[in-house]
Amino acid sequence: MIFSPLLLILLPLGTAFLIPLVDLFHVETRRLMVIISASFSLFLGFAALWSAWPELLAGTFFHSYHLSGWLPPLGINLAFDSLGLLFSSLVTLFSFLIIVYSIGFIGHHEGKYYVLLFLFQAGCQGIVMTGDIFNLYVFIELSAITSYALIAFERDRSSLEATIKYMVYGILAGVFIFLGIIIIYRSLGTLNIAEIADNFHRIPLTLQRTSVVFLLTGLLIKLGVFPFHFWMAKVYGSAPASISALLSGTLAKVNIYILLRLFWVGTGFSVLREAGWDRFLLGIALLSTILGHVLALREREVKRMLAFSSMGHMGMIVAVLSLNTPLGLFAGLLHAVFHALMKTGLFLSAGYFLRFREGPKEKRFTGAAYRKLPIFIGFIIFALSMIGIPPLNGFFSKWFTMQAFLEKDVYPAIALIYSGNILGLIYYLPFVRQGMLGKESIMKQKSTSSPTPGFFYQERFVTTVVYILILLVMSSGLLPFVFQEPFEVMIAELTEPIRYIEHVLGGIIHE
Amino acid sequence: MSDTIPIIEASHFLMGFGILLMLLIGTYASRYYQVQRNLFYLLLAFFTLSFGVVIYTTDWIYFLIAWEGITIITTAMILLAERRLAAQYFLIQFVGSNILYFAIIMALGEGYSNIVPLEEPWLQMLFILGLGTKSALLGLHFWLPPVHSRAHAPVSALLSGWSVNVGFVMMLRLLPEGNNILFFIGLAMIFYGGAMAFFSTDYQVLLAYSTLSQLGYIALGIGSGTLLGQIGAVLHMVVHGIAKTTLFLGSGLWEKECNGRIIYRFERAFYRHPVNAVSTIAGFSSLMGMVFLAGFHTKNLIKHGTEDIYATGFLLYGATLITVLYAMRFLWWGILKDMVMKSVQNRREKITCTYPPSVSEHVPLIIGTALLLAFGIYPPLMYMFLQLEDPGIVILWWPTMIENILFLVVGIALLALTEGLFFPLKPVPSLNRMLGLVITISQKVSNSIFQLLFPSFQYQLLWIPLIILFLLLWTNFI
Amino acid sequence: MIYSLCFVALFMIGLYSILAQRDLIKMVIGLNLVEGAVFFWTITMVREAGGVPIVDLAFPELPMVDPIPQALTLTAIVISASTTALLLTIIVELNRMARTIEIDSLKGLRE
Repeated sequence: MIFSPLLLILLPLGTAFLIPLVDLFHVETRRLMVIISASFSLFLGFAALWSAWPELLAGTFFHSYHLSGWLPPLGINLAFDSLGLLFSSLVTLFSFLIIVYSIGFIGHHEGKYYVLLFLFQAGCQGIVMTGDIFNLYVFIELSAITSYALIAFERDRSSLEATIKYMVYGILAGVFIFLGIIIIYRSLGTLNIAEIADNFHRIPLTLQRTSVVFLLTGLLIKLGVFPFHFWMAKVYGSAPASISALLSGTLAKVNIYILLRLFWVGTGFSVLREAGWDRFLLGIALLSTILGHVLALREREVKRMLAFSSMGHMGMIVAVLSLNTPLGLFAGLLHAVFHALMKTGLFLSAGYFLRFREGPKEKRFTGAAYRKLPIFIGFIIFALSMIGIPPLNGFFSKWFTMQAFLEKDVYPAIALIYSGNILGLIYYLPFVRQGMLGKESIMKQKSTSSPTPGFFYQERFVTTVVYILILLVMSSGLLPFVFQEPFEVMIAELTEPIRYIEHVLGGIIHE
Repeated sequence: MSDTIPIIEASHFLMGFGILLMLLIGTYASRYYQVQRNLFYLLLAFFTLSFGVVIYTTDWIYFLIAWEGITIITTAMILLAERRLAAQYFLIQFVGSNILYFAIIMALGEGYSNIVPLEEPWLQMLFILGLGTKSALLGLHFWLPPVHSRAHAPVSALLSGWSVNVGFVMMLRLLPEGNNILFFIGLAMIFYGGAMAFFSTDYQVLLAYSTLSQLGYIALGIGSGTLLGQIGAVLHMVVHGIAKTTLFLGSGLWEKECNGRIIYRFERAFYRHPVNAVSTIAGFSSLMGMVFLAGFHTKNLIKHGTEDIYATGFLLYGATLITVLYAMRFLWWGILKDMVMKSVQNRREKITCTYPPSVSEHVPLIIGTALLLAFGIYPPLMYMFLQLEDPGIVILWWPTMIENILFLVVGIALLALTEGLFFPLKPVPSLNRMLGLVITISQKVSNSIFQLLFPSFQYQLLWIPLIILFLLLWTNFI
Repeated sequence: MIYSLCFVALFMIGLYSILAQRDLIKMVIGLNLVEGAVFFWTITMVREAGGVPIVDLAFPELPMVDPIPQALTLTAIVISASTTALLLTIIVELNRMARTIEIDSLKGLRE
């Protein structure tokens, strides 16, 4: 790689702390800085991917950075492998898109908003890059705290309630993750993920499993899988659309990354399998799939509906990952990427209509087609992709998912995917219909809450981002085979954690 | 001659006539759609493309893409007429597609990596179910009459004349050995569709049920698995496509001319639109299987292919009778009534035509009629296009004509005795109630699950210690 | 052992407060108790007597308290303090709008 991976964390972190400073002097400069910094971070992410591509295909991609020169296992290190690269690229891409979207979308308290957004980005990048389990916890909390504040950004009653609910869940999840880490540290005396992976089998079985229980529960709370899904609809429904998109598109996928990193590499999947928890995981994930799709049927608010649908899809990803077959992992990763594209698109296009219309939330979607037809068509395209219409990307990930389930003879899961598709159509249809209701006059109605005029506050930013996402959804549907080779490398990393250990510890492996 | 039909030649044949029919519909639509004309042409072009992919590809994924392409394109076409209808149509087709996905995944699991004939009966059944939604097999046909009665005439022509064939082409490729269940479904469809058409009072609903009845013949031919049956089915797809397209395009003209589609209100239709009337008569005669029209030959082939199986040959006489009855009933009310009943004086009255058809609307009707006649008078033409030898069925022209005349006489006698069999008007069939029910029930279920799962904030939090306790106990005691 | 028991007791009190108290502030206290229990347990896990955790170059073999749990706890306390502050701020803000901090009166928490 042509630059240090640390830069991917430092750039957003630095920007976040510079923003309030610049804001004091000149507001326009801060706006410019936000755009420049976001673009530069996108450029860095792209350059990382570009320069790493040959190594990625060869399966030798690995970069580490030792903070203050301390070598692992003593020092804190960044371990950047191909799985991390995938999720880091996702974080970079979606953060960039959402920052650009926010330029035309958020019209007030922008200084604070961008600070939080950049901090969030730094937290997510940190999660995917760090090689230290406590560092992971700190970055999880960093992204969590910023997301709490971002959810409460509208400061109306509903969003405050949502924040309280999310915070209670989030704090408990954090406590459990911390507890799990401490149990591991207490038994092994190390915090380095590679070394934990190397020595995890030395821990007494009861402690092994206790730590896994706490880590798993914490992560499942963050993921919103079945018995912990209660915060999702409230949070996604009340947060600003850009933040809902960020949470469901990026943060949820980063949580998937943590799940993979901790339980496939850190503890080894055999711990889960021997305890029979892979079946448990499969069961609750499938339950949350069907519950998500069924609960979405009743919603009349578009963002709450999307939240429940998100719950359904996240359940499906966890379910297919928990099969722990190469095909299952491939399908899970593919669906994670594609679902991020689709859900971000859905939230952003829905947010466009909700933002630019007044009235109760249930009715704001009325006449969307007349407000801006291309965006509305984009909404339909994303929805079609969600329910798995072939040339779009959702179909392909579901296709592989079904094959993975079939390989393991999990027939109920296949039935659930189909019913999810059909239920998906039933709950998207009313919104499409609602969007087509209304009269021509709505089209001429002035948008109510459009931000103050000026170059930086144009609707154009909002619409461009949605168009880019439409393009991405359609093109990734046409070229699903691009993902084949790099994903196989990542799957090899997950199924053989010894490679990660060797990379990080540099060949020093304890017996 | 091989045992089964050469599928590549059949595909070329179907593709050629598919393009021809698209051209006819496009010509007709140039006046029908004045605002959205280019959009409609674009959709037609995409439809042709998707159709081509479906019938030629051997790859499951390309097939699925094209199959969904057809669904989306036809939905967009229906959307030109009515939004709610389009949504209902899409929902129903999507359920069918999902069954199809399931079938394909299962087929892949059984090791069919390409589209090849299937061995397992349960797999065949799944595919029949999945393909049947688009092809309106009996039991999955319920969308057909409502959609045809509301959609615009060119769209109905496309759906009824050509889109329904897509599924049958696939069945032909997947089930070259035939399938008994498909056979019986086909047989039932002929009678059910015929009976429903007979009791219809709305012209397009009548045509829709007649489509169902005619598709029964195709299903019968494919289900029999005999070569003659398959050739008959392929030819019948084309011939029925031409006839139905002509009829539906004509129905669009009648609808504008007579302010509606109630068959009792077609007054002096013949004098107003003579070309249309002739093409309508030709179309129905082809459906009835009148000699010298193409439908006769295709039905004859199917009859020869299937008559040895379960006394079908005898049943098909009944099928012809029921076709004659509903066709004659419409022709009586729509066209013949005025010619027979009205006095000469009345007939010479000045005819005022409220909607004079243009050339672009006449041309498709004339071409369709001409094709039906050409195929009927010189059947080797069809075999030539299909690149097959003449299957060598000896047609006894005179007895057949007598048979036809007997059928007609029976039909006319029945109509004359009952004064045209007047049935009270029936409401146009609609999917609203069904769809409304689906949505209401799903919302109620969803709501009650929500109430059950979300009692209060602290009960929701209670799950966390419970799950942890459960997992810990599981670890240490189980 | 006694430390572990204390940890469990504190944890349970906190959990009870979260699950059974009808007041948001008490819920926050419960959350803090749970966190505090975990932190308590973390720092008590290193019980061996020893010197301050800097390796004395003169006597490198002397026993030393493991400094890492304390560092971890310190970090986690900072995180916990900031989340608590944020949570309390939001509760105050909500109280200003809804005029209540009773969990049962806030219907929005349920959905």
